[in-house]
Amino acid sequence: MSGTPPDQLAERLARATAWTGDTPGLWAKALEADSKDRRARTIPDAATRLWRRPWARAAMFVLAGSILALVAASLAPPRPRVGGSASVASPPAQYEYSVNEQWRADQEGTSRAADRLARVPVEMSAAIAPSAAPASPPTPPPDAREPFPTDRVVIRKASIDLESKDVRAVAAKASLLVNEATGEYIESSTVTGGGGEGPARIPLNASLTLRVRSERLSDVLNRLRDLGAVTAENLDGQDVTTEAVDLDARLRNEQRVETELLELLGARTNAPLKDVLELREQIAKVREQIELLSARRDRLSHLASLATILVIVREPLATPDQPRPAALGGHLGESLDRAWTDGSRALVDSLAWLLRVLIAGAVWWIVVAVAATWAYRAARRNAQRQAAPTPSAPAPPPPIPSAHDPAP
Amino acid sequence: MTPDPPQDADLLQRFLAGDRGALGELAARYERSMLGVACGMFRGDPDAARDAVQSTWLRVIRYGRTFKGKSSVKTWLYTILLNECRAALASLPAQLRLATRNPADQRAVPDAELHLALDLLPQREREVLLVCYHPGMTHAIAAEVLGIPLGTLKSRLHSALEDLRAIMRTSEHEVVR
Repeated sequence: MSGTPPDQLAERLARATAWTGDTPGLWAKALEADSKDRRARTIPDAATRLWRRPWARAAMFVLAGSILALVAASLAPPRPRVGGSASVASPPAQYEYSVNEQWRADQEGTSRAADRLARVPVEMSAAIAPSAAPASPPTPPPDAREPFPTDRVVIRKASIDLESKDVRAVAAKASLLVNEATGEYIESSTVTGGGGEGPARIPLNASLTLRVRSERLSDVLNRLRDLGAVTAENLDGQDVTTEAVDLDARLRNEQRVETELLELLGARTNAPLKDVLELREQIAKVREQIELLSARRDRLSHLASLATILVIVREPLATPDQPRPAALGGHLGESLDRAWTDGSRALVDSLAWLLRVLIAGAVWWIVVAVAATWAYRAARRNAQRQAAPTPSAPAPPPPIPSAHDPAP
Repeated sequence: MTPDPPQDADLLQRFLAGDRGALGELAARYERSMLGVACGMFRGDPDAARDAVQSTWLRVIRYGRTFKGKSSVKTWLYTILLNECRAALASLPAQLRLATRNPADQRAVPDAELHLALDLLPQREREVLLVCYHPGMTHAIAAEVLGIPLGTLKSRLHSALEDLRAIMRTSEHEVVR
């Protein structure tokens, strides 16, 4: 170095990295800044630390899932029990008819009718403009509306199994319970078996399907119970009130459309032939729809007005002869066979139980597995930490040789 | 007989145990020299140096528990300080980094000529010179702080000095012309 000798350069470099001012106590400012910052980030830090743990994440997912399921369950509308099985002792629960359902049914029917009317030629529709109410606001004044149906429409079905030695007589008595004068009838009647002799004899069975008025259902069932020993009984009720209301509403609307179309046809006698034909086609379609809906409504009413009872009459099973005591060898064989069967069943049962436990608690097994893995890792980490020597710890001093120790 | 002053590691442990005064004692030992190194790194800018040192203390406060004792506390402090300086320099816009090259701005900075020459060196050579010639710094500690072997440090220091002399010679010639 020509201009700057080495020692001078070293001095200048040392001066460049020397602090000439006073010490500002920056450590205290840092402490203050840290305490402020720590207060601000305590909760987020704790949440972050917790989130880093796998078991906490798994628990949060499970919790979130449960909350979502609860929310979804609470938001879902309660479904009315339709078509469910009802016990004999308790009648089906009263179906609460909803006003909204009635409105919805009416409005659906009205919108369908409005669609039909929209297809009518423009010239002709102008003629019935004042009466084209279905296309305009669909809500009639409250006093003009038909009253809500207060009766439920329920299709009832019952079945009863009887045992009697005289099957034919019971079947005949059961068929006499039907009062044909009031519209009740026997839908079907079948008698099977009865052939053969001795042990090869086929037991006699009778099966009847009775259609009785709904209000007489309980009475008829009581009388049937007296005819033989009841082995099984079942009563079903299917509530079709909603369907009936819907059909009624659609029927009303179709009839309204038909009336309006007929008025239109009568009012415009000098309309072009093409329009007249088109209108007639529309009327035919509406009529067809009305017939269809009427038939469905009638069938529903018929099903609801008459309950169905299925009566099955059986002969009681013959008591088998008492088996004679088997010989010792036979008894051993039977015992072994029984033991084998019982053991196999027990094995299959226990396997099925195990499978049920595994599947039913799948979610909880996952949670338990995650927690166990975490605990195992934590334990292993602790064990390793304890086993590893501390680098900063001084080595233990060598033992002081005792005067009694023998010289090496 | 006065008792022996506590070791740096003991002071750090005491601070981590809740004794705030221990950090003050540690700062009394190293804050001034840390400010010097930072000042050199920031071409004589005392405000930037103060910021870097305060950030260093903040890191010590927050991450003191991660100190494993593999190196001395002094080395650890200087390593943190250098990292803070590098990060601050990297985050500065290029215009601000080069602002000190303007001779008009350099009037207030002592030995501005040296700082201008250091500025022209590659960063790793500049760091080697500033750390090695810092008062009280040994080559062994400097190598540890910079994270390089001692031999590498010496060769890098030699070439950095050569380059610095060459730059200063050139600038002297330019001034004469």
